[in-house]
Amino acid sequence: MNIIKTKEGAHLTLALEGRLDTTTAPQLEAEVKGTLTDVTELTLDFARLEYLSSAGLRVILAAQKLMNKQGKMVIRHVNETIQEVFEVTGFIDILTIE
Amino acid sequence: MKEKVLSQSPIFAQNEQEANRYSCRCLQVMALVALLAWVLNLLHIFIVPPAVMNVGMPLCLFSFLLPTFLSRRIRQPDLRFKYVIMGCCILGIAVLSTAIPKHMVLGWVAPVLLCCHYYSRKLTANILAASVVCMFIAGIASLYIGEGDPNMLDGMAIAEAVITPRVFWEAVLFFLVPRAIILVGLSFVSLTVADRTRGLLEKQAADASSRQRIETELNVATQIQADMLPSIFPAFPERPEFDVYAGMVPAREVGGDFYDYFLVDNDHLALVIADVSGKGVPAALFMVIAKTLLKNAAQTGLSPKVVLEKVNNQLCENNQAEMFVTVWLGIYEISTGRLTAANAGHEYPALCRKGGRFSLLKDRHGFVLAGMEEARYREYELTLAPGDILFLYTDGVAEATDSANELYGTDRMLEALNSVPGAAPQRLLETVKDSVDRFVGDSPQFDDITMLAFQRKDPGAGKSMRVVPALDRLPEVCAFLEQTLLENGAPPKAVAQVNIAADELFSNIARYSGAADAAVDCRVTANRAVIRFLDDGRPYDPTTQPEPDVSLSAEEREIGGLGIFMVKKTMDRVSYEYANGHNVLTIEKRW
Repeated sequence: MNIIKTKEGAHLTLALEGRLDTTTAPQLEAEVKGTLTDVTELTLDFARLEYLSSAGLRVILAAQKLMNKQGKMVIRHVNETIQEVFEVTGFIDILTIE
Repeated sequence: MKEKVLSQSPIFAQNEQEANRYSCRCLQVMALVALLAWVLNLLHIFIVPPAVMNVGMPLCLFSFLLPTFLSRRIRQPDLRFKYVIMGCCILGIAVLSTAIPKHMVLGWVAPVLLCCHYYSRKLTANILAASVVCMFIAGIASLYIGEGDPNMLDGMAIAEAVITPRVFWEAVLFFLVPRAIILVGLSFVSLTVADRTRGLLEKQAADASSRQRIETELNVATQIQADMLPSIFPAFPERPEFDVYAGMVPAREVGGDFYDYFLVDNDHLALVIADVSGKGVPAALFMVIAKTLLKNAAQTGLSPKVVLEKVNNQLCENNQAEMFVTVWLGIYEISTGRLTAANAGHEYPALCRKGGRFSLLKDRHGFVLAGMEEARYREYELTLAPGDILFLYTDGVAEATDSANELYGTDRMLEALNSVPGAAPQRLLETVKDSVDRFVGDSPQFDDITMLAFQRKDPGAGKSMRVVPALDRLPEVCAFLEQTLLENGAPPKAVAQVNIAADELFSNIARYSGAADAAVDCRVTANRAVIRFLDDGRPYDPTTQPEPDVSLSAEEREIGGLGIFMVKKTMDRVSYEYANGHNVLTIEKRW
């Protein structure tokens, strides 16, 4: 999985490319832990993300909890498979998906 | 107390109603007789003074008919109603007896006789007492206001009816007292009839309740027996390589037929069909033993021949009832389609090669099980190709008879089987059952009808891979599944969902199972994929994990259990079994 970072002041965009699963989730986790200190707006761009598993959900949940404290988090360009994952797990209610 | 309890039992409650009805009818007849007497008197054929009759008769008709009238008015008369009937009866007779005492001597027996209807000592005694008292009153009253009994008066040579104290006491002592004594004597007939009939009725009530208990127990036994036969279909949904369907229709409450199928190990399926001699409870008990022994022996991995020989000897021990059982046993090797079978006196199986017709497989029969110790059995092999179907049945099918006592026979059975070419096992069974039903018509079913059909199926295109259960091998597993699925035309969304499931399941195995070896197997047919994950780790069934609460806020959320939850939600079926030291988790995805 590739992560493309774009930062404009306090607005960070992470574009994920590939699969967010057990093996790749630690990558995103490291990114979230390391670079969010002065970010008030986080955008996750899923346009090129194929799917995510519960390992990915875990990291997204951690990021959402963090951003709830220091700003806001938005997820963009969610495909049908991922949308369904968010729906069945109830994540749809705690995430902001655009 | 006892009488009261029993009176509440349905038999006595029913008798009470019937007795009321009969008693009312008796009173109607008595009313008719009284009416007749009145009419004859009016016509001067009888010569009782008309004034006496014209007063007494309406009163007595009223008494006799009142209970009938009341019983039509009161919907649910209670236990006191019989006293109303008896009271009316005594009153009517007392009125008549006052008017025409000499004709009514026999009439005094009527109330006591009526008591016979109720099987009650107490009622009979009470009515006797009341009758005696009323007889005295009526007898004395008749001296003054009625047609003084000529029997009494003539004997005492009294011209005009002047009742002196001497006449009075003589009438009482010499006429009323003896009559009362005779009435008491006669009433013993009524008392003994009441006792005896009551005893019979109590016995009948006890019999009915014990019969009901036996019936209930038989129903439970039928249920237990039915539960012993595997009856959840599809029997092995995670096995696309074969299909098995079976059913039994017992002739009586419990039957002696049985079928069975079970996995001996991951690659071997045992198929059993059997018929115990005799019927009913003994056959069912023997069936339970035979079925258990066969399953135990087969599950140790023995060949059909050895299983039959072993079970035969076990059944022969202490077989005092001289029962026996015919058995066809096959062990099917799933990976190769090879079937090894042995026949202990059972019907020939019917075999249909793919695209062909059903015909009997004339296999070599051994002796029945439990017939003779140390009997030897032979086994034979045949290989089933995908599409081949084996049909097993008991003699209840072949020997079903119609009203003309003609046998259904295997020819009709084969005809029925061949009438639905290409049908799946379930359809085959339904077709044969329909055919038998049509043939038999309204004749009673003599024997259990039991059938089992087994088909080797094309498991579909697929592959297996062995993999070391480590997290860094996950991409390999995903790539394998993705390739197999895409090659066989699975849509990308299904592939992604299978990949998510594989991520959850394989990472679980790698992290927690402690397994040293794992395998993934993927079969695709038409529009579904069946994927199995096997590992040799600790037995663990992830499907039993409690479902997470997916409605909590971000702060309250926990991530545990979410993975398997997602798998369950996105796959069409998830099932787990532990077999031969392996966790086997099967998922199915349709599209």
